Amino acid sequence: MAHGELSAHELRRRLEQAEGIIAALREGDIDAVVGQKSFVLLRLREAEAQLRESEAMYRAMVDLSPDAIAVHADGKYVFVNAAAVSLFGGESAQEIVGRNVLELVHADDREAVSDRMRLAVSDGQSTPPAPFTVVRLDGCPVEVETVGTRIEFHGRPAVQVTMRDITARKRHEDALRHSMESLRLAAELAAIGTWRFDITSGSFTLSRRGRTIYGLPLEGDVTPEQVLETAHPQDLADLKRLIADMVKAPGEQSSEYRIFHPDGSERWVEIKSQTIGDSDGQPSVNIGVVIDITDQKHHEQTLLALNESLERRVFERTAEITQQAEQLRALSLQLTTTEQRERKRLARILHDHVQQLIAGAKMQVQQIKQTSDPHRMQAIAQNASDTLSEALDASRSLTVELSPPALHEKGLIGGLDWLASRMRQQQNLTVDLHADSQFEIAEEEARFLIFECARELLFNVAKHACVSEADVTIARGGDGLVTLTVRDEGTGFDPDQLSSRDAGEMTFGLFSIRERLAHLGGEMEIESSPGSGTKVTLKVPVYEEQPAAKASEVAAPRRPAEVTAWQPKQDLCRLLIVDDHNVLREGLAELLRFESDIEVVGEARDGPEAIELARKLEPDVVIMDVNLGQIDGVEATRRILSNNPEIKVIGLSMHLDRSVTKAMRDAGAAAYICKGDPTEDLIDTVRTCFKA
Amino acid sequence: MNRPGLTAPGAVRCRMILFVAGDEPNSRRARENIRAACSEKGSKRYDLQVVDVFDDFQTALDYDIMVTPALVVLDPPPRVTLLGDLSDTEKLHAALGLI
Repeated sequence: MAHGELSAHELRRRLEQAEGIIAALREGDIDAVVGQKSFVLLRLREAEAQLRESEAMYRAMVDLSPDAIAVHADGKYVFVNAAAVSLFGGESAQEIVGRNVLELVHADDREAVSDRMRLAVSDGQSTPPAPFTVVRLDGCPVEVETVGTRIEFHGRPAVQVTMRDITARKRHEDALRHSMESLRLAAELAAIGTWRFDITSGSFTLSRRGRTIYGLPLEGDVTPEQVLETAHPQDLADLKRLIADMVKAPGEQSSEYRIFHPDGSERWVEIKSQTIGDSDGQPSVNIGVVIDITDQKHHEQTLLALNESLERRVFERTAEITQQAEQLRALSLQLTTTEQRERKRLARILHDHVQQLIAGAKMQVQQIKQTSDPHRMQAIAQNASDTLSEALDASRSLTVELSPPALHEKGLIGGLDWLASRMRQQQNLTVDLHADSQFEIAEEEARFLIFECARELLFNVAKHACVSEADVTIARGGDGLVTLTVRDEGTGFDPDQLSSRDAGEMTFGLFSIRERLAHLGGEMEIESSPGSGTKVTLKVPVYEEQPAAKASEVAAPRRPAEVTAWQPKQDLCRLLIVDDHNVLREGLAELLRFESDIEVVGEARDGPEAIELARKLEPDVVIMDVNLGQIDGVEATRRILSNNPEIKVIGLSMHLDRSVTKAMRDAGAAAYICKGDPTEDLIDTVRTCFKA
Repeated sequence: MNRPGLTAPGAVRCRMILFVAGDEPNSRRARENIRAACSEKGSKRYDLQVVDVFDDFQTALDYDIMVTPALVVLDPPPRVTLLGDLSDTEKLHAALGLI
């Protein structure tokens, strides 16, 4: 054996030693290798321990991961964690390990997955997250998002895939998308525009409806500046302040302002928005809605204008009513005063004149009782008779003034005639009456009203016009209106000043007429100016049931009593007395009882009773009071004579009025006497009529 | 480094040298394992020398030791060298002649 050569034993020993060292090295049991001059520390064992520790941690992480983690090599699964087993619907890893990866991928996604696998393996790239559909062991599809990374697995190139089940997320996303779409549709239908402004990034989106409201292009990007440019210059400052609030801090904002559309039209919009803060409380997003409120604003403005107009009209009307109420109050006061004055006047006439006369007559009658001298008695009786005649005259005058009998007995034209003569006598005013002699108004209220109005107007002429003549015209128009016109050529006045004038006498008179006419649905027109006279026209609606009835009655053929060939049946005159006044009727009966050739066969209190008794008793003569109420003496006379032309009727009245006398004579009365006439005249008239 | 405390007087003598590298993990475990083995088999007298190559690597070269930890059992012959942390108890006991 040459020097330096090793013996076979030594060689074997060294070989064994080397093998031992290699084995120890492989096992990691070695700390250091000792060289000829130094040593080398080996820490393989520790590195491996750390590696094992890392591997254990990795294993634990993979096993506990909620995401499915699988490793595949050469197209087959070589490892799956518990979550992956669950994802695939298996019970143990063995069911999946060894299976072809593409076998568990949905047919639609196999090509794409295959490409990704190739990319990961060949290029060593991590594949970005992508959604795929895998197929569970039971065949059900599962939506997953996968990420692939190339790794070494047991020394072989492999791909680790992380799969996350996104079925629930997809469902939520779909629901959210659906919900967002519904919201968008609702906003569109409700004509609500929406925007979203990301304060951090500055990105801005405005819905289609929002663009329509602002008059901005429906396509392409829209910036907040474009929206701001639509604002009315007068509202711009406020709007900018609002936007500053939006980006300053989380909170809510709202405003109404005007904008201009590209066509120049002005619109009103209302905006409401909310700024949402991030986790640090810093404003991050502003979300808002916009509504076109132009129509609403217009309606509000119209309503406001209407309200103002209404308030103004109410104010005017209130002022008018207040003025009328004031006039009414003054009128009422004047009416009360007038009534009191009239009462006093009537009381004074009654007390100072009529009552004194009656009292005087009573005393004279007393004297008759106490006197036995026939001449003296005759003289006293004559005195008493004269005194009573005077009392009767005074009372008659009073009655006429209170209610002109002509108006009752001869109708409106008769009343106006009487009024004309009265004005001439008392006021020295000549009244020229223009009227159809057949004209009449049956309705008593209207007749009296027109008469009172005419009297009031004529008094005004007499007092204020400074003239001595006036015209009165009355006619019925085709429209059913009775027109009364009172005209004078006097001083006149300005009718416009009438309402503003203080409640003077004339104003009151006219106001009173106007109010009473208005009550009946009539009206008054005044035409006048200073220096050119006055014309007052009244229009009164009068509804006549039989407009011509009265006229026809008046025009009916009459039978003059004087020409009737009448012969007394016997010497005794059978007499019927008709009077509604008990004392007067009984007094007459008592007076005539002592006349031997006159027999009072009956007494009647009113027209119907008179007609009935005349038919039953067939008297020779009837003494007929003219004023009997509903069927007056004229009418009763006409009917009695109609039944029995032989009867003689003597009219009897308080008033010796020519028109009344004529009416009675026209009705067929043979004679007419006054209640104030001496009783002898009455008895003579009865006898004359009886014998005629 | 002689550790007389570990030898039992009157017992069969077992002489050995443990080469370690400081307090490196394998060396520490090797020390612990050899002590445990010696204390279990108290009927023998052990004569253990520990050599730290950090202090004295020449002795390792003398004994032809190339890696640590390594246990060289000198007596009883034949000389046996065990490499590693001596965690293989069976192999250690065999080397010590305890089985």
